[in-house]
Amino acid sequence: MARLTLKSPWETDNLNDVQLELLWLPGDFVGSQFVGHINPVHGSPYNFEPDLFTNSDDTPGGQEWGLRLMGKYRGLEWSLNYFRHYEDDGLYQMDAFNAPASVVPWKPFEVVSHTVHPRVDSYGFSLTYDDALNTKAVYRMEFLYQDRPYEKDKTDGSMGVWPTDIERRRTAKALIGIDRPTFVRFLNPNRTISFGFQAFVIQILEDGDDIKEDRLTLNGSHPAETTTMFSFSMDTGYMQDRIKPQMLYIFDPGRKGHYLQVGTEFRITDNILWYVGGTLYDGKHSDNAANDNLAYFEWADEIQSRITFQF
Amino acid sequence: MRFKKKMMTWTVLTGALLLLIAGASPVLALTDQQAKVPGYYGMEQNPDKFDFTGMPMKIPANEIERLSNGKIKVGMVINQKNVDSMKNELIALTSPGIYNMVKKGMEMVIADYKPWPVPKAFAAVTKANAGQAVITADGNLKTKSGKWWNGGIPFFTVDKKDPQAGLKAWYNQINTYDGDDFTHDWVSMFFIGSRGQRERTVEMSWDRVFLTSREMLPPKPSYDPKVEDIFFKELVYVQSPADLQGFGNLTYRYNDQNKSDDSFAYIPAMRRVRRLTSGQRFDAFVGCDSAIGDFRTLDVPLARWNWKLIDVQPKLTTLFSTDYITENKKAQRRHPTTVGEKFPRMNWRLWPNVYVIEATPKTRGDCPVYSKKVLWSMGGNWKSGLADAYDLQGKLWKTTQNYFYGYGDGKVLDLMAHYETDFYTYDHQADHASPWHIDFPHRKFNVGFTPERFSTKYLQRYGH
Repeated sequence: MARLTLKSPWETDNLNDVQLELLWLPGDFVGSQFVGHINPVHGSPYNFEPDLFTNSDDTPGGQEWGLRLMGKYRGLEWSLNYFRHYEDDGLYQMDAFNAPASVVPWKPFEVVSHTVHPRVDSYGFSLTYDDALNTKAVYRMEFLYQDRPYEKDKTDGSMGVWPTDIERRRTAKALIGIDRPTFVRFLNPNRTISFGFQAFVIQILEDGDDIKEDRLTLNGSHPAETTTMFSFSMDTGYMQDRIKPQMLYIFDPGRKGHYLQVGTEFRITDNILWYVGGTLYDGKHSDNAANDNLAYFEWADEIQSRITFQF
Repeated sequence: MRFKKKMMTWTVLTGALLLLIAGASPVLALTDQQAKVPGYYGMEQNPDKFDFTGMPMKIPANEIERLSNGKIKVGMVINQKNVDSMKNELIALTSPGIYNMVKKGMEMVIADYKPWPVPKAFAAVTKANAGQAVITADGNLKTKSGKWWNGGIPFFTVDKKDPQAGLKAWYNQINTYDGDDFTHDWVSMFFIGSRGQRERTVEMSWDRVFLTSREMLPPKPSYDPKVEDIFFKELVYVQSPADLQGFGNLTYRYNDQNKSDDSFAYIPAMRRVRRLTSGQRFDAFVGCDSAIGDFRTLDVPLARWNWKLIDVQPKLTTLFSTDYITENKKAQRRHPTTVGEKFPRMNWRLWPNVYVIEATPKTRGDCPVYSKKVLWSMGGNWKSGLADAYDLQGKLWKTTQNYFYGYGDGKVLDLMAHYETDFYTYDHQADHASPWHIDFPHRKFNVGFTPERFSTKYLQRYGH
């Protein structure tokens, strides 16, 4: 990635750090690898669990670029952004069902698909304010407008009801966040507990009412005309940060979905870190995909453990 | 036979030569003690460049004995074995925190008084601005013409009876000579456990530029007349360990002492700059025993605290705390410690007039962890070497110290830069220490930084 930042030499006591940032990802122009969604996909993309799921990734090779004008007015940090890029999450395109004629344990039911990363134009702005003296919290607001691609079904009929095409819908996303590190002395006299709260809204601005009909799907929760989610996180450190517990909770009121991740990182030595944690999903399950839980599951739990050796 | 003898002679000579070569290699890894460059050398060689106003050039060698009823003498080492015989005298000359640290194994080497001057250019600004400083109704430091303070020590003479004496002495401390900018390419922060073992190391760089109160480098006294609200801008980058590498923090400190800092972080995992709240100044810094609010013994917006002068006393301080330091870039930094690496074993020298101040937060929100801090500002050089912090129950919790080496020699180290060997915090309740070692050859004053370097643009550029 190349980044050029042009900083305005003009500043006053009220207006600081005004700068224009140009971003460029050259893609195949210099042979760089496209990096899509960095998080693992939870569950299968079509909300059912085939015995064998074979998916290939169509890596886009085009260039991506963006502009960001940012600065600070008194206590308020602001930015205006435009980015012409590829959808990181990717959309799944069904290629084939290879179903055995009868249920035979050694002949699996196979779904063959590929992931595409369509182009997206994103326009956004952000505002951040630190009220350090009174509420001691940082307030954030982000807004994003996209012509976002969604999967469309029943286009050629060859795959029955399953999505095989993509259509674009104007979509707006908004986020409000509050970060507030707080001393809770009876829990930790030395270190703050960092509380974070976020509210997200994703609103599809056109043809939102036929979303359910189209059975559109995405990685994670299914799209709906309006998706609202709330997240709450906590983390702190004990024994000079050798033990760092953390928690993340997400609530999706539209689908009555809950996601809870609790974990602790142990710094065993300067070089060895061990993370152990658990994840719970809980929510309503229905036949209608758009009403399903955050990650499809009605109930699921997982435990994770990771050992890191660093030099 | 003769051939065999020749062979043996050559073998012995070659072996000796190899041993000599092998023995020579540690020269590249001198310790502080081996380097032997005293921190007052440059100043003594260049007396015309320094101003000694406000401090005696000499104090009689027996002054410490007189003050301690003959129990403490120059040249002696105070340690765990002899400390109880001089408990009251030591507490009077230092603090309850220092007594407790000696009880737990720290050693203090008592040394001669040495004056700690300031560069003449800085002293000239102090003299030119004398009598101009006022404290406004909202607790800010301004000039009589209503502008932000513009350089030098604002209240060079502080009357003990002045109800604002504590606040004035602390304003002197935050305006003490620090150059117009500085850089430290390498600061090592250690986490030291109760047995003195090193648990963790965090390495970072630390740069600062003053936008107002500039005394040494043009433009003076402020960088830009349109931006006079900002006192300084500061950048800190973490170099190691790997899980923190590339993390950067940018701070804007305002002249308005009712206002908290602006704080931005570059988070490598997100490749983004995020605004952080600077409201919680007493959160343990990356988990160590010090908080941002403990820097320089107490680093807070002054108008949010009460400053009560307790007394002006002679104290044993950590000026010129090491006999020698290395000025060799290839040298190791090893300075003496006791109980493993838990306690620095440093020189303590008498300073005649230390302003002892009790600082208390105005509200619990201004400091949710300490009930008070008792701290020092040394009259004349106005540096702070020590603070004892008390928890909300009034029990001694932490002692924070600055150990000062001296000025550079004018050859390898900058003559106009003063150097700290350690910024050090000891947690009495957890029996845990966090010394920060500053690598001198990578420290410079008055580099000529521009404010543009201290912006979110550069925060991103230097993050990894």
